[in-house]
Amino acid sequence: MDEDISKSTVIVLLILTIMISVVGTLVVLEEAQRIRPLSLGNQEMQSFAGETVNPELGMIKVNLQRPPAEFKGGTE
Amino acid sequence: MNELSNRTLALLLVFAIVFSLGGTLLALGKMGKLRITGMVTNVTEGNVNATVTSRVALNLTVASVDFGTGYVGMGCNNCTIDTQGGSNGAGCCVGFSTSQVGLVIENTGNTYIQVDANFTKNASQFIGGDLTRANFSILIVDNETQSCLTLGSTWSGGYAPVPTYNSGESAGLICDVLSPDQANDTIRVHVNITIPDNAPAGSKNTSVIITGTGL
Repeated sequence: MDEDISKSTVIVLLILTIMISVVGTLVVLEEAQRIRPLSLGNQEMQSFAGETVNPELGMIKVNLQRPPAEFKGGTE
Repeated sequence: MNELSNRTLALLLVFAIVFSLGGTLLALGKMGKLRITGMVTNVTEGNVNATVTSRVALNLTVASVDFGTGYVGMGCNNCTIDTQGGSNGAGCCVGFSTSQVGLVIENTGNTYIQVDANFTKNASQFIGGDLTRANFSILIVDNETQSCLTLGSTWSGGYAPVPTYNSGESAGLICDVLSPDQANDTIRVHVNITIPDNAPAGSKNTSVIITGTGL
């Protein structure tokens, strides 16, 4: 194969290269557009009206002593 | 320098085509492997639903009041002391603690709750002595502003006898709606006791049960 290929073949290949490159880029961009940030669409609250929690326990304390013995006076 | 032959140019173009196709396929393959949550396949809009579960919870962040050890001073027929630093004098309340701050109730959930309190003993059971003088009362106040929509009317205007089980004072609603807002979610239960001079000596204690109900 010593003969060179024709110019038209080269031009066809060039056009093909450009087309593939452009189409590939567009396909990649299209795919990339599908990636979107997360967003919260609907929020729903589950209500537990009437639910009673385990009771908490508190404590009240006091330590009452007898008053010290009163000195009644009088004779020793 | 000789010009490039058409054959060489054609080879370069074929290489360019191969690289271009390879690059495109590689990029698409990489995107497919990213597996980002929320990436949609067939529609242009994504939608994520979230369910926030409400939680009913409360906590006694200050769970005890301890008036300490003391006695009713000579010449006094009682010692009255409370958790706001008040007493009927150090001469009447000898040795008792005046630094108590009451009980603090916090809504630790994320929903509005009703708060009820019930004590296990009333004044005669807790303190004893002359029943005309023995007193065991509470006062409910907002610990953080506007925490409670409406404080229990019986105990918010002034000290009133504690609510107890199985008694006429059993309606222990101390707050109808306690907010879950972190900055406004606590109420305080102040305690006031009057110890008659003839109350029997000894260590005295009573429990209070705080209940929260989701609204």
